[in-house]
Amino acid sequence: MTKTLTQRWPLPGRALAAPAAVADAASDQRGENPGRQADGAPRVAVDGLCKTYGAVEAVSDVSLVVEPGRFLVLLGPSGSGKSTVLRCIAGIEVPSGGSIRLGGTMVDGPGIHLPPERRDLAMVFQDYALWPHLSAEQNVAFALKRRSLERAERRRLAREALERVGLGDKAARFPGELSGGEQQRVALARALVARTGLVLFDEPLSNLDADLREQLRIDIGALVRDQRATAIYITHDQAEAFALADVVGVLERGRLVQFGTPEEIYRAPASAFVARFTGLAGELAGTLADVRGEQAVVQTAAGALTGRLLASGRPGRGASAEVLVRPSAVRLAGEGEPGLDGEVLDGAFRGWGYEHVVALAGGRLRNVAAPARVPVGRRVRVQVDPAGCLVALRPAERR
Amino acid sequence: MANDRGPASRRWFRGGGPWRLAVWGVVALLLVVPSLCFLVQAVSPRLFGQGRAWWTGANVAAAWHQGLGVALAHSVVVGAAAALLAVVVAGGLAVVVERTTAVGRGATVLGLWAVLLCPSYLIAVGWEEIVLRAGMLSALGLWSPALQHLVLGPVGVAVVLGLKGVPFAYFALAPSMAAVGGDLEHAVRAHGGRRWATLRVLGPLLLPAVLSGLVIVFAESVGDFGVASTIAATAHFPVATYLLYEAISTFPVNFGVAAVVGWALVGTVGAALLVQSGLLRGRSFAVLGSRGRAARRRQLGWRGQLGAAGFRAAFFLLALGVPVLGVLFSSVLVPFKGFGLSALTLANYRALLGVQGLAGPIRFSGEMGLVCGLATVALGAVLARTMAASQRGVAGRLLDLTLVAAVALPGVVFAAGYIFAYDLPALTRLGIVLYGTVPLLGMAYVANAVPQSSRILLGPFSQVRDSLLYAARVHGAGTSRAWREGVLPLLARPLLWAFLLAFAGIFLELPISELLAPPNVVPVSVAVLRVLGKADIGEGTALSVVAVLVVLGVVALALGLFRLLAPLGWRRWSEGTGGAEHAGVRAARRRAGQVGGPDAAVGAAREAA
Repeated sequence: MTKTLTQRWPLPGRALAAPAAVADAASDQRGENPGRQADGAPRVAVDGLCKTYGAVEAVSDVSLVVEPGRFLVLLGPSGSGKSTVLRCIAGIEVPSGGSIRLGGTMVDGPGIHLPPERRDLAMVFQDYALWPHLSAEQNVAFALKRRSLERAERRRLAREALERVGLGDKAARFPGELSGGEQQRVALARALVARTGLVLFDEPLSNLDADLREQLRIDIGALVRDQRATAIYITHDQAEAFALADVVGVLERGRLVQFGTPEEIYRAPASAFVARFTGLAGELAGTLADVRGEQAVVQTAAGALTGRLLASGRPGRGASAEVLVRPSAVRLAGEGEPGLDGEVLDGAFRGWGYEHVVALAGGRLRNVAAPARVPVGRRVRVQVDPAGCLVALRPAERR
Repeated sequence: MANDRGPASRRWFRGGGPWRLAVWGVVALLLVVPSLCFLVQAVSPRLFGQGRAWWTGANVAAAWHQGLGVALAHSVVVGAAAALLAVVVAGGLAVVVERTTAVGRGATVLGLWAVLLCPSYLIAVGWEEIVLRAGMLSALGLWSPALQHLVLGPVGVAVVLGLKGVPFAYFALAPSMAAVGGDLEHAVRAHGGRRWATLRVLGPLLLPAVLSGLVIVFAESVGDFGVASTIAATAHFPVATYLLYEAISTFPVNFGVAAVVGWALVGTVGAALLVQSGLLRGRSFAVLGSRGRAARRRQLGWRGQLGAAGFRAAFFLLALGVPVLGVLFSSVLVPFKGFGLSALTLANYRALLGVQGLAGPIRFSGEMGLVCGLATVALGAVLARTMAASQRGVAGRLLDLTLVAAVALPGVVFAAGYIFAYDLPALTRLGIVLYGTVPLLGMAYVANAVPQSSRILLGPFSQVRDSLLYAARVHGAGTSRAWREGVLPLLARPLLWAFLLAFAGIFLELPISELLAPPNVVPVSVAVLRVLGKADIGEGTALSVVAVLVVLGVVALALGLFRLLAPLGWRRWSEGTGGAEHAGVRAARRRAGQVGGPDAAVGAAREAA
């Protein structure tokens, strides 16, 4: 699998999509579709996608491209439009504008809407969506009917798929007789069994507990990559997104605000929103003291902090700014080491060590790491690594 | 390249656009237009050649003069009392079935379906046959004038209507009763609330279900004709439906007065719906959630089991046992000969067999029940799906209102309305000759049965998650296969029960059969009426018993075939039930180790959630 990205932030208004010609779906089946890999994984190109419900604009001008065999995670808070984008790609929702291509086939566009069953994709639903009157094996085998296989062959493949997700011995059980995690495994087997080129995941882990989430996340990543399918996965959990994705798209109020690798998103967030959504230890307000290239120094009430400037342009000294501090950038200073003065408000054991909440002048920082527990109320110093700091200008100060 | 915008899109799932237009077209042709053709004569008799005036208030005055005010007041009072009684009894049954480990919960639900299948006139006739001077109690030497006075009076009317309404109230209440509790109950207890506080906090969550039950039983009761024409008539206790029947069955026929009464019935139910809507305005009572934990069942000791069994036995004895016994004895008892073997006779049945051509009516009504029952269920399912998908929109609410209002109109209104709507000279000129044909009779049967059928199916259809359809479609199934394989099996049992209910209603239907049957065919109910007209009551009840046995035979056959032929998953999903239960509730029950309890999520669960 190549690691090249088709598109990097910022998007140039419209994605760099495949040639605009609308190909016949039949050409896919003949293997003539230029947008599909030899093993059938399609390139997904979404261009200017809009979806409105009455006066509410759920998705606005979203453009992105996922190369064949890549794993895209759409990340965003509730109401950001990520589910709507996914459902448009699945064909469950009809877009209000824009186009969607799967491989070389335009499945949504002006006057075109290909129904879900003709898009040759599979999907894992948040509520599993298993048919309660069918056994686990029958649920999985259902997805094979489109392949025109013999009944015995369908059964064999369904059993194989269930074996792969560790449920070979529960094929005859009905969904109601399975636990939540097992039900989601059946849903996963159903999505993978027909080896469709595109697999969609609609927050599949959100109803599961932490241990199960982690285990299933690993399984999903391994199985999808093993199948070399193109995958689009939505979640509001940044840890899940970073762990699974080749590429991440961050959505905010219906708009795609950043698109890149997990590393890019984390290290160079496009906005304070993306930085906040992908994890902060805290924020400290202050004024801009100096700007050197991409680096800026902010004078906060707790002391001077250096970080990477998020805004483009040349902000002047004295502008209001905030320092956004990543969890990985903060630790308690040792004896005699310099740092920002503060007082411990709370401490928590994390297994690998301790994390503290420290009150500083003008704010507080969470996730402050230390090898030992520090009593609440003790005066401490906090070391902040500039590599994990981001400087965001307050809205009024942006040029 | 496909251009499948439209039916294949989400609009299809949601029931919008052309789909909704088609649904409304069918509802208009079957229900709205015939009803309006009848009702409009209240103020414009000349429109259908029933008078000289294009516009008049004379019919209102005439109706009032004939006692509409008193009859309507009677209807409202007995309807309200029946609704209250039904909701109280149904609430008790729902607690026993949904919240306790009482033995025989599945049988209770089946029993409720039996009450639903039993025509109200049969229950009423049964009670009459028990308490009348020449009835069963008299034969046993236990006749009591006080009891006769009680049963054959307002109290009797309200009680019989209330007992008949219990299944409707139960199916509205049960899903909420199952869902309210669990985490919600634990939250109250965890924050220091005792039993009374729990009741005070959770009780209002049942309000939508309670109101829904009250309204549907009220509508059924004020529109009921079976009790009105039996107990109420015997007791000289005029109610609105009987006034309406009198207006069109006595000479000279007065359709104008009947239409005024029809308006009064629709208005009464409309007012009840307004009250319901006002009480619920802007309040959310959602209690069914996929992550909710169902209430834990209360373990009953032997005293509790005994109490629960006694309560249910008493209900079924009054609602089914006594009246069925009454009808049965009436058909085999020689009047005024005491109670002994010598007083028993099969003469009525022998006389029936002697009546020429009775097999014909039974076959004809059976065929009509089968065909029209299937059509009713198909249309009821479409209406239920449309209402479930658009319940918050104006169109959904309007459809809901239309169907509830239709429940309040007795079949005789439809029958008369069909004569006016489909015997118009304009239609004849267009070559559409429907009046006096079997298809028109079938349309009227469907129109009469579909409001009840759609309400029965509304709950199960509301509970089907859209994701089951979406899942089928994204995994390669077209819309019809998605429904056929992904959804309809979940609804198999409610659909079967809805069909059986429609079949029973159509097989035994009287006013529509009487007014619309073509001259060359005789439905069963008309045959019963003819026998009653020329022979004694015993022969009539004997024929009723035979007709009901036919219905029960069909019910047993259908249920047997379902058990034998339906795939395991279909049966497991709705085992021992009348319908599909909310998946979240089922899952929560399983977590709580309560697998195998009887389900009850049939009926108006939409209102409950």
